[in-house]
Amino acid sequence: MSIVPKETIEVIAQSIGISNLSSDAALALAPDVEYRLREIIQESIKSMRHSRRTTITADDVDAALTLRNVEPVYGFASGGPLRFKRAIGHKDLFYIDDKDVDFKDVIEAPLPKAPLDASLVCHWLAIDGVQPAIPENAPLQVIAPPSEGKNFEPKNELLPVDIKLPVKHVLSRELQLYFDKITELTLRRSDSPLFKQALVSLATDSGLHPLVPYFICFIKDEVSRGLQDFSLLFALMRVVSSLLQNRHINIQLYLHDLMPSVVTCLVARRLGNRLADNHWELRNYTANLVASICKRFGHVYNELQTRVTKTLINALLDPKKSLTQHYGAIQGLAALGSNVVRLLLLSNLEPYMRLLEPDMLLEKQKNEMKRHEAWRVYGALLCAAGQSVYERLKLFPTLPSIPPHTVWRTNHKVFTGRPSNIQDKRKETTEIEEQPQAKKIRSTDGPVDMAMQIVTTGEPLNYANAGPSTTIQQEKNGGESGQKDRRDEGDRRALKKSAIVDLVWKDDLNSGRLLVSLFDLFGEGTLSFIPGPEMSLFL
Amino acid sequence: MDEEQVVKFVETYLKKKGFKQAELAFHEEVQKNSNANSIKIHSDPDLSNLILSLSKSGDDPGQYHEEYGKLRTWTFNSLDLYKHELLRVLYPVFIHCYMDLVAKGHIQDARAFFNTFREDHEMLHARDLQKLEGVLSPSHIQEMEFAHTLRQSKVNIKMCEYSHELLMQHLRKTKSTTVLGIVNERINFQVSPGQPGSISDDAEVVTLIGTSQDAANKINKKEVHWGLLEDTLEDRLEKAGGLQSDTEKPEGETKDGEIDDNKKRLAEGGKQGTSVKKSKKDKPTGGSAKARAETIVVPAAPRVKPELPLPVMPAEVEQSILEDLRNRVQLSSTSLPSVSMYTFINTHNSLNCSSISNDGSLVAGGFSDSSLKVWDMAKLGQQASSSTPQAEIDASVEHIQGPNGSKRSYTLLQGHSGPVYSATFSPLSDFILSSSADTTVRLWSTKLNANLVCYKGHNYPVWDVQFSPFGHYFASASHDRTARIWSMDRIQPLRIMAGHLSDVDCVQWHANCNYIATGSSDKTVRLWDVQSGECVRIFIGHRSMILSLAMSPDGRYMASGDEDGTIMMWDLSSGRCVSPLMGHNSCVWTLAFSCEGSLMASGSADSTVKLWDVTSSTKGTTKTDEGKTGNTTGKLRSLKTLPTKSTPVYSLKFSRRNLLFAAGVLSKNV
Repeated sequence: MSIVPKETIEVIAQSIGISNLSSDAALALAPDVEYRLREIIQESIKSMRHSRRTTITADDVDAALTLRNVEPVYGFASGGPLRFKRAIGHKDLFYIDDKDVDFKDVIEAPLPKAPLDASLVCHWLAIDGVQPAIPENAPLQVIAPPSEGKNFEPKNELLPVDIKLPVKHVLSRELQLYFDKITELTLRRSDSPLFKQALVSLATDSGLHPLVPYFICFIKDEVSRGLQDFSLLFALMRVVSSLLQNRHINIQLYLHDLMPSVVTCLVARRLGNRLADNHWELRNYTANLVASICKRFGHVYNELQTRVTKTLINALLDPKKSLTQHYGAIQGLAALGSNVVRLLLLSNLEPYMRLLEPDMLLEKQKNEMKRHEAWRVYGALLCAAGQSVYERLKLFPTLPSIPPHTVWRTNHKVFTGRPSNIQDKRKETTEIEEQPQAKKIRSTDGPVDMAMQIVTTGEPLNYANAGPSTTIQQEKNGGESGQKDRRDEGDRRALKKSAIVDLVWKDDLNSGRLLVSLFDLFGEGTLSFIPGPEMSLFL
Repeated sequence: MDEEQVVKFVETYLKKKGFKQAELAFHEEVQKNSNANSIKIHSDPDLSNLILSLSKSGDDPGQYHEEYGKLRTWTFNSLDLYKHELLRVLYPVFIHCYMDLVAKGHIQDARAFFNTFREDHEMLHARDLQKLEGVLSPSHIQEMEFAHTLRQSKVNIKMCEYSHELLMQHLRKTKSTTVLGIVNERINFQVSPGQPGSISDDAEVVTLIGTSQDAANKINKKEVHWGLLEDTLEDRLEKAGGLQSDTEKPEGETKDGEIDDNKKRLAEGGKQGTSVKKSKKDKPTGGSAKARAETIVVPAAPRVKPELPLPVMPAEVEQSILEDLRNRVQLSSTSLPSVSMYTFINTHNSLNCSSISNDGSLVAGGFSDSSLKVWDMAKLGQQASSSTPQAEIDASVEHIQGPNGSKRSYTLLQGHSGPVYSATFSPLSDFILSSSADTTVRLWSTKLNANLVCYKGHNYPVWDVQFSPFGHYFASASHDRTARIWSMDRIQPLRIMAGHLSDVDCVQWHANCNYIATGSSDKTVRLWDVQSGECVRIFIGHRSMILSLAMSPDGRYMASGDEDGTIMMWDLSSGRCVSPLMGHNSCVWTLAFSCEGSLMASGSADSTVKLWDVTSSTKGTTKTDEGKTGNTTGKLRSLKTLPTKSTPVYSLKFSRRNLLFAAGVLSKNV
């Protein structure tokens, strides 16, 4: 009958000290309780409406109780809507998560920051019925193509102040403040959570269009000035990335100004002045950025990608350029897609490897830093080429899903079955056992062995698998080489290995090409059965 | 069998049985009722007998369920043509079945009955159902106003002859005596010959309110003089072409009349007005209550005389207003206004209301912590223009210094002891009125930044307070179900308007100051004569609590916005809804007409400001450019929706130059 069951009444009665409430009385009370509850809720809703809210709060209930001359319920006033939690195992039972607070903690805790005082801000919601695209307004549903006139802010009557350069048009004070804030954050506090918020704002706000040229200018200046400052560069690239994400601004008009700065961050000789600066990461990030730009605006500016690739390949093939520059170039090319890699990178691979090899070997290159860099470059190359081949192979209809699985599986198997393998074939076993750190190398050895064996069995088609597996290897390799405390011995060992890998790799490339031609000749039928038996063969 | 036969039949019956007392009583009754329209069913003796014989045995609670179920299935299966008329019967039968069950104490059955059939009515009557759901004992029916009035009054249902016949036949055939009893007892059929009415009439008919439709109709027949006041500033501007106005003074009206035929009449009015003002007496009603509807100048609006002595406007203020009027931007559906948005930030959910002064320079906010804060936009602008906000504030301004030495950007007015629910600026922005949950209304001076008067009179929270368009007088609306008229110089109310069946939620003055409109939780809007305190119009049609009201500047129309987001435009003289405006999907907090009345703006909890074209329909007779012939049926067009950035709009105000100001609170969770 009533939504309040009799039992509830009994429980409440007991809780306030009435133990002998008859069930009849409880039954009679239940409907009245429900009625009173509804009455209170109705009055609370009135209070809520007059407070111009759409969510009911504890204050509203208190107000309703006061209206009915009932003592309000103390202890729930929160000023905002309460957060309810769902009771586990019940569909419609909610409770307020009310933690016990230790008095001592409260007393000893430092005073919380005073909440900001209420204040009032003013902006134009509409000018003659048209909403200006300023950050204070909600993003418009349909963005009209930005005409020159619209870019200018409507608040001309508010003190026009120029920011940096002699500008022709006037920026609103709000936008100036915004710009100052963002630039300040980028320059000084790029690690604060506020900066993240700023990036989100840059990526989503609709009214930023008037600021775009300033941002571009800012980025340009700061990149050219701050090549020593790693964190600044990274922050700048993130700003660029956010600006690119913003759908409301038309950044393609400024690309010609923007691209040099971005490419600089990719292939500069030095980025940051400390050893600890992980400029590799910055280069990777920027490489992706460049790729996304090319992808998005490539169809508008036909020469965009060609110009980028030309710059990159020049950087790569110039032996005078440092290895870091090479690395950036490779990453940039790799990010542009497998086709670019295949056409530009793989064709130049052999001569380049010859250049690189001496730097990688301990005997020839005594500078550890240099060697480390060489390894980095090498890793990037591996990765790029591997990806490319893998992508390439993925295009073939029968293969798409098999390779990753088989590779992972075989990789695993090889790893577990490793000891015997080693004892059979490798003299370095003892060495490995001496060095626990080299564990990762061991794991990567698996596919190498595998690749070796496959090569020797003269089954070039299996390189379908070798591609991705080397990718995996590279990833591990890369992670490892980042470690500063890597031992020389491990290094040396890896070098020996890499010589082999290198060999294999070159074969791999050839075989990749071979593979294509072979595939064209033989068709798909030959492929499907090969991986399985081969794996089992060498296992 | 006609009525006389029935009477005779009963008389003979009573004589035969020797019921003398009853016979006498019957005679009296017959005499009394001879004028009243008898209902068709009563003229059917067979049926009456049937009812008599069976009504006593109808105590079985299951019967309600069964019979209502039957009626329901029958109705749903009836012919399409008559279906919508028959469906109207279901709701009153439903709620009365339920209340009968409750009244007889079958609580359990009542609840089961209610839950089984409530879905049918959920769409149209959700709120009523929610209320009724809580009625669980006979005493609740007595206690709860809504249920009580439902029991007391009959529901009027219009029906065509055939539908009525169908219904009665069905009830008789199925021997649904219980339902038949309810139908006879609670429903008043207005049977009309001919075709069934159209579905569109539904809204009007179905709303169940405390007062019966008859009473409302009777009230709505009263005369309303909705015309504007004589000799407004606008008129003078038109007449004098703006130049003459320099020499004009309210007392010197006799001098300036040059072209007018009714110059003398005007002068008389002016003199009368001023003399009364001096003596501070209420004007005798005889003089102006019968104010003739005068049609003088271009706007077709008739002119009326003020029934209240109005305050004298200082000459320099008048000058500035005239200046504003001359510079007014003409708005229409093609030239939309500019909107300046004031956004409150960091209010921590505590802002209850806001108000904007006539020129937009002052903004007041009423907070739930009992404080009233006033921002001076001019100062805010200066302050923000300095490089570091809040750093430089004019030190000479005392009030900005808070008690703890910290600097504030606003004036803090403290005095209330409960949440402030409403604030309003006087027309000249020199006073602010605020109303609060502490049952008082307070008058503040913006010059002195101090509380001047505390008006006590209401017994419950005061939801709304509004200054009259000419200042000095103000109206308040309260939870105690009354609206009151006050003047600034008296601490007692001048008039108390009682009649609403629930809280009076909002109040608004008519442009000529002779009427106020009140919106209530009983879902009606009423128009009251300020002089007599009588209710002169009841506007029925909203389906939920009324939150906002606005009067058109020409005095002809009124708009009201409710909790569901519906806005209704009413014609004051006919008391009918011109057209409902759908568009908002949440509470309409505020409404405002542009100064010349061509546009209306509405602000809502759904974080939008919408602009509506008023001219296209309401002024159909004067402006025929829309190609509409009548002025009653045209739909108002929504011209533009201006979304804000998650800021529900609390108040809107058109300045005299037709710049629209909007205020709202930035809220993250909306």
